[in-house]
Amino acid sequence: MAVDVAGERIELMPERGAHWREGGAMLVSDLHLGKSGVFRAAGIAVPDGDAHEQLDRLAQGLARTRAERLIIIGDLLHAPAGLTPSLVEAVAAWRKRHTQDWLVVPGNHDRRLEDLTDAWRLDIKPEIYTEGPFRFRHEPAIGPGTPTDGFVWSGHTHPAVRLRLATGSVRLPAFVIGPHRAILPAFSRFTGGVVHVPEPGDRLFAVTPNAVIEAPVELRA
Amino acid sequence: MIVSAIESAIVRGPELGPVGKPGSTVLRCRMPPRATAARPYRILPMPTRAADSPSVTPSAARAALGDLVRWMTDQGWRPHEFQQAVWEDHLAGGSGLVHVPTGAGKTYAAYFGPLAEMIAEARAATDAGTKVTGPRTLYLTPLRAVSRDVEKALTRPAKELGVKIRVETRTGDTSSYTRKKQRAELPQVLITTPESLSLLLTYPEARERFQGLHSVVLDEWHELLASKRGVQTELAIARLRAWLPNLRTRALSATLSNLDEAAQSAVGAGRRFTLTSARMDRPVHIETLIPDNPGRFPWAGHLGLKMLPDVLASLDAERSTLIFCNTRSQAERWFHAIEAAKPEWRGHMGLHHGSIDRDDRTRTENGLKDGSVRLVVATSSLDLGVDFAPVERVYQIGSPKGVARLMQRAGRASHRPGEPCHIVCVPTHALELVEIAAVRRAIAAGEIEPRRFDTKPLDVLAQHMVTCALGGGFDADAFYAEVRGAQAYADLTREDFDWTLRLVTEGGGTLAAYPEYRKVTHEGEGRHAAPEGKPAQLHRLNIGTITGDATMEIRFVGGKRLGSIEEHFVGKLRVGERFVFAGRVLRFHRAKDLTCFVRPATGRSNHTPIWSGTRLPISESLAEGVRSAMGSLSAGDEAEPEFAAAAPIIEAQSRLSHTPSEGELLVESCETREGSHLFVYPFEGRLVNLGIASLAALRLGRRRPATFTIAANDYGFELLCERGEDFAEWVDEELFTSEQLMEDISEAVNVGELSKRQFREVARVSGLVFQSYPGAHRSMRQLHASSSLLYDVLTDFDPDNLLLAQARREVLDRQFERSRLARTLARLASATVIRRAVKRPTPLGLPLVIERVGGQISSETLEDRIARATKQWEADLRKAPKRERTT
Repeated sequence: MAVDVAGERIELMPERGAHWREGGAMLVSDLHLGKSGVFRAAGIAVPDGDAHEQLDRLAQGLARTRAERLIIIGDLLHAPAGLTPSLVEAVAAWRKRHTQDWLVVPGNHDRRLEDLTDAWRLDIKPEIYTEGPFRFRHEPAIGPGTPTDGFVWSGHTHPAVRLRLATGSVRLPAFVIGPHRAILPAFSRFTGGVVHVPEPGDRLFAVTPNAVIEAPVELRA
Repeated sequence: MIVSAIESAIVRGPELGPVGKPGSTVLRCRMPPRATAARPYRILPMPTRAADSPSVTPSAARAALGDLVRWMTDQGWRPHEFQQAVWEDHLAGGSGLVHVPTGAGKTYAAYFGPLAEMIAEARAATDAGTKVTGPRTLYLTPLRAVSRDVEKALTRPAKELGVKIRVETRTGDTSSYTRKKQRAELPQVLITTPESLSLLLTYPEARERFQGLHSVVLDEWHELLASKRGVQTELAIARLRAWLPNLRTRALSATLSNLDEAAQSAVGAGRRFTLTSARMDRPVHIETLIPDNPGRFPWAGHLGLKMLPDVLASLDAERSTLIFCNTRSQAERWFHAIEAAKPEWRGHMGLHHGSIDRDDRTRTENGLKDGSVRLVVATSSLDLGVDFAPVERVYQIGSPKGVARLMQRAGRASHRPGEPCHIVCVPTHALELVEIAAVRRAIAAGEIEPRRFDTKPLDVLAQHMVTCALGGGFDADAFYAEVRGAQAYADLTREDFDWTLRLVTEGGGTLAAYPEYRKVTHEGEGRHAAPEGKPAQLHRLNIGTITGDATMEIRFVGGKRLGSIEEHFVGKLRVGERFVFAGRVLRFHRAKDLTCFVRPATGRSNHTPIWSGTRLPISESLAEGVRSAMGSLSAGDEAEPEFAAAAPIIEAQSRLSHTPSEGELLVESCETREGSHLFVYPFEGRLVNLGIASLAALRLGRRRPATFTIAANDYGFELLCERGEDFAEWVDEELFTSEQLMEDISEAVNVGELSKRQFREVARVSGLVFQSYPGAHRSMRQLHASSSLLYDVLTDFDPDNLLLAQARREVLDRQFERSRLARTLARLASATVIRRAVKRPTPLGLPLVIERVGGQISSETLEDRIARATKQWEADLRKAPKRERTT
């Protein structure tokens, strides 16, 4: 599903990322790597495997789009407790096989991110990072009235959309594209979502297992 | 004289009772009329055995019992035969179950044996100049709200005899000061809940602290039995029994038809028990409130407010009255409606349900006792052992749902021996007339429901394993034997035990261990223990098996707590919106942390919170009665008073379609704007109907791809699909075959969302998700995950996890009542299928259309369904050009 955002052509990907062709970059946010490990460390029996599934999905998206860069708009990590040696090693090994650059805009969960700069070859950017017509920041601008000088890409809220089908309803992760800002769905599947309350001008794109589909917008009275 | 009467009433024999273990004893006592005048009474000389405590001699215990009996007679109460039988059994070292009606004196029957021993011990200690320390009797009650009354009742006799026995309560509501004191030393009599008992078992010094305990009383055992709380209790007592082999257990229970099973689970697998029952012949008299013009009875609905004028007309403000509703929201609506119609009664009315703040509930109960409250609208929160003065009149709004349930509620009406219990049933729609008549017939025929048991739930076992690992640790082999001593796990395989042990030690139950996971550690040679730390702290905070939707506390801005309310209801409230709660009209102010702040409002509101999981299906006994009653109605039977009122609707059903008699299965099909409807009426209770609906949808979908929306109620189910897809012809005996039943229903359950929903409970009990609570430390937020998210993660990354299998099994057992489902399918496969094409929903079908709540079963892909929905949205957009598209 391709859309026009601030004059740029953006492909919304069923892998839960966005492809910015002009910038040669794939955009993702909210990977929350190590989340299942945080649970296990607290004595909650959650299986391992979420990180590998994400890395596979990233590899698939990068191969398909041939993007040379990955812009991670925050929350690459979940919490220090989940950052186990085996996870650090697994990502480092993956980074050796996949040569793209990783640009990381830090999010609220990204504590101890700088420790990984070498092992994961991270290019850590400031909290607001500007490139071309876009600004990248983890948390969406607060309130619609906040002045912006540029189109903002963010994550953080894990937006979802509830679709009313003839026979009931389903909740799916979603891209939110507004006139001045866009919010990416959480890349991690081990995250909950918040049904997005649309603001005027928002378009919503639901991610199904194999496609991205534009969903109708119901504005609240 | 009395002596001989008792002897003749006691039947001793090893062969009694269908499931009774060899050597078990059944005592049946006649219930003498309650006499007000004291009559001479003496204790029978019977062989006794010394209590565990070395300082108590049998003769001293017997003397103390004599004092207690004298105390009773001084109060003007005459000891009942069954009470005496239980005391004797206790002093002789027995365990067992007491089964007598509410209000007959169960508590003292179970308590005086242990109390006599405690008094004897206290006296011996006084003589020797020493002090009694540590617990002797554990009194378990399912409701912490009840414990206050129990504490009073248990304190009084010894106090008035001048003997000092420490009786204390320990529940989630106990102050931290008292807890701390109890941590140093438990009282002689500890009143507590299953959860608090498990919590006590998590402390390393648990074994030492319970030293000296000789008796356990299980109050309201019938309430705990059928649930995971009962299983949790069984495990906790099995633990105590492993430490204290001579521990005696006495369970108290109300009406049940499978008493032997109930007794066995109370005393432990393979142990002998004594059943004590007293028959109290109180016929139940059921009256139905039938309006002058029954023709205006609605075909559907369950609130029943149309009957309000009739109920008001029959209410008598001077007589104490209890109005039972089936759900909390229904109770709110009725209370609000009565209050609006009769403002002058406001000062004498009370509302009682499980979400209302405990203090308010207690105030209502006390008001009923002292006469200041004369009209109480209640839910099943008053079914449980809340002991209050019997009221003069009892009403039941809506379906009685079960035979035992209605009998119990009727039993709340004036307890005069020999006098009938009178209950007024208020049907909320026409078909409930048939249900009421069916209950009356079932009571006359003595058909009361058994309580079904949860068998070996692995989530409860997992929680208990962590509890015991923290509380001193265990050796795997000995612990396996101990767990099998609990009746619920009597046939637990070593394989399942080891799987659960791996779950708590390694995380994954099957092949690979989860990295970095630790909760219980194996210290070698089968020895397991758990370290203190964050996992231990989380475990203690989340002990228990009660799950519900996330609830929020509801309170006035800067003030009083009103009760609790479900989070998703609060999520839908707009600021300033009015709603009804705890009988008050409130205005939503704001939600913060886990509190919903409100302000009082005026006026009326029809908006009441909905609490999930509050609707019970009709029981198997009642369902059978309803089918039979439907049959006799269509044959023109007019024997029951309700039948005349129900006749018009049955005639309409017969005219528009067909009224099924026993042995027939009615299938209706009709086309509306919504799509093609298929109605099928197995009359088997909502859950079983839902199970059959899921199965039918799956099997029909295999023959031709389709998406069905399912609705089910107590009478039948509806499958709704796209227009033009008529499936009526496809309903045949093959659809209901029991072949591949387990495989098919598991697949249907997989496809649907049901096992995901059930997984919430499994995940919570086994410690995969934690309940959030106010003031949670920030680091806890990193651990927030919904159970449905975990369900997806487990399905993706560890599909063989036994907890997933358990969720599916529980859906089958509990949601669909698996064994009942199999029996129903067998019945349907041999039924004569009657097919009718109808123009619009019939009296039987309309309720299904109105209350369509249920899952979906689809054999189409999500993308196909969205594509279809997209066409619909586009059509809607064309139809509404005024509403601009917002892009």
